[in-house]
Amino acid sequence: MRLWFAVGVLAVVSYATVLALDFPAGSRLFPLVIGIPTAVLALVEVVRQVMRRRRTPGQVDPPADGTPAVAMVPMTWTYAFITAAFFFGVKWAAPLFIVLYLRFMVRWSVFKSLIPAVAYYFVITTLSSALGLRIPPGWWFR
Amino acid sequence: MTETLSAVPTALAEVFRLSNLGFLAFGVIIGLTVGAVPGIGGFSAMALLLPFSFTMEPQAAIGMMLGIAAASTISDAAPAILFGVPGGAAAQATVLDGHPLARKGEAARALGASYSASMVGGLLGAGFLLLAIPVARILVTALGSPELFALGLIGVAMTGSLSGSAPLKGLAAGGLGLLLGMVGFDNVTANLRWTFGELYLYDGLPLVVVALGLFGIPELLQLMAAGERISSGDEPTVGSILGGVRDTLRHWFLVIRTAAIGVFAGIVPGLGGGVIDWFAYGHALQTEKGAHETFGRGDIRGVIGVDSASNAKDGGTLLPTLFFGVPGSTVTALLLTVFLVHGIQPGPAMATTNVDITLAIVFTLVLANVLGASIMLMLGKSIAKISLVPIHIVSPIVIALIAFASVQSRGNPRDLVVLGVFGLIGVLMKDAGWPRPPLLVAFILSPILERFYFISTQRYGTSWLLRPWVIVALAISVAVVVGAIRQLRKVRKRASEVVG
Repeated sequence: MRLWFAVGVLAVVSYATVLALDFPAGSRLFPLVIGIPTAVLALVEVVRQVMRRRRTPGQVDPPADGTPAVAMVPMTWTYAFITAAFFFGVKWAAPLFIVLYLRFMVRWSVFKSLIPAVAYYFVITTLSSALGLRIPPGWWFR
Repeated sequence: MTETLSAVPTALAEVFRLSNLGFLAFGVIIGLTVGAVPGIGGFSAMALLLPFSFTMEPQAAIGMMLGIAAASTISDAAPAILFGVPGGAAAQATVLDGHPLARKGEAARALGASYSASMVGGLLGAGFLLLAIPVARILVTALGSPELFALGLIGVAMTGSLSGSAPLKGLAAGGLGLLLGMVGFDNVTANLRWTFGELYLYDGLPLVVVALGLFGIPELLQLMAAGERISSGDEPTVGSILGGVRDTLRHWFLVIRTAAIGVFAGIVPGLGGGVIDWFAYGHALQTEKGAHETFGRGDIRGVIGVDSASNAKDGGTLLPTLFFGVPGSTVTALLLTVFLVHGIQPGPAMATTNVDITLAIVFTLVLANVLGASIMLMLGKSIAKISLVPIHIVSPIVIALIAFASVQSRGNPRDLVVLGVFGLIGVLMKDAGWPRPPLLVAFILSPILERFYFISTQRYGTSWLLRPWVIVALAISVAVVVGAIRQLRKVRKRASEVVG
């Protein structure tokens, strides 16, 4: 993971720096001043990781802070919700997500799960109308 | 000086008028409420109430607005400590040590320290504003574009030390953040950069969404992966809240130092709370004993330093607003509008003929901080109990709130795409041991740094590099990076000795 992330950063920064070469004169100065040293730093990190792998072949990297940051089930729930919110809008996707999550992950009854969902809906609609905040419709309802 | 002292009774009488106190309390309650909701912050509430303030008495309007501004930066620490989701830009660094403290069962202590440090920081900021009245002009004009650029560089260099065990990755993440901050319209030449024809990217990437993605999503996913509840300890007690207050008093010198950083960084227009808290965190990390071993793992000093600075900055941002009509942040831009509508003209007169108004503003700031922090300290025990609720129950609600806060940024569903992408980047960075704070700090500083760099080179060529304060700032930047690398080597050597 550590090596591949460093390679990813190197690729993104290098690509951005190459694109910056085509910017008009005034606009490319700062991107190049920053992009080139950043690409060098990322390259050094890639080399460090490659050398570390050579010293300890076959070793699997432990999570950086000792606890795994990723667990597939919560990640899937979260990203499924973000996708639903994108297409259908936060206003409807969020209460639905709360009900489904509490029903299937926490094993609450449908009625009990509805209570926080309704409370959430009430709070965000009140807050939005009181503060004049916008809740955009989803992508399919624009 | 005599002029200032003789205006004190008039200012006090104006501030303590019952109706003015009522509007101040109203502003504080609104500020505390919106500050606790991630991503919303005091600005929205101030913008909404701005038209109503036009018909109010000047002091009542100022009191209400200052109440919102000061209180929202007090309560924004609660979601940062409990869920690892910053309530506002000024609470981003609070996550680093506040959240680990909550996970260790010390949420009440972290909240107590945060609120008390906020109160003391706010008071020190107001005190500084009071002392600055006679020397305001000299202070603000001492900083030119080259000095401001160099000051920003110190911030980016500090990211190297912020990254703790990985200065190289920290600097690379900082570089990446600077590049991401350049996406969209180039403020200097009005050309488009890295937008790939996407209209949404013309205004750049939204800061709130980037911050929520980088910090909120990974922390929540980690909590959900671990299961159980946020706190591993027993019921947080009132004693813990008071313990936090005692921590603040015990580390009084850190509170004063970081408050000074908050005030001075607040004077620089454009820096804002999103950067100042990282400056304070970096300073605490560099100067506190044993900080390199304990910061980021739940050290109360990390919370105290950050929250003292983020509230002290209000005094600093008011200085250029009052004496030059240059708002230091979006919040002070709204305050400036209130001043102008009520016929209060910023300028040197604010230190002479209108000194009573300046003093009233200082006293209002003091009251707002004391009132806001006192309310939060009283509610602290109840707030801390949230950390005992099983995370499975809280997490869907917090994720839904993060999504709601994200779409507030531009009112565009694409905000959610940015949230998802930066959430993933945050998860990968966390897993690969890349520090996230440098990316965020650099992202915030990027447009400011570019503007000052452009002005400096256009006006002075390369000679600005030889200006004394620039040399000092550049030397500090180098020293910060070298210091971090040396510290890391020392820690590694000690670790290998222990293992050996």
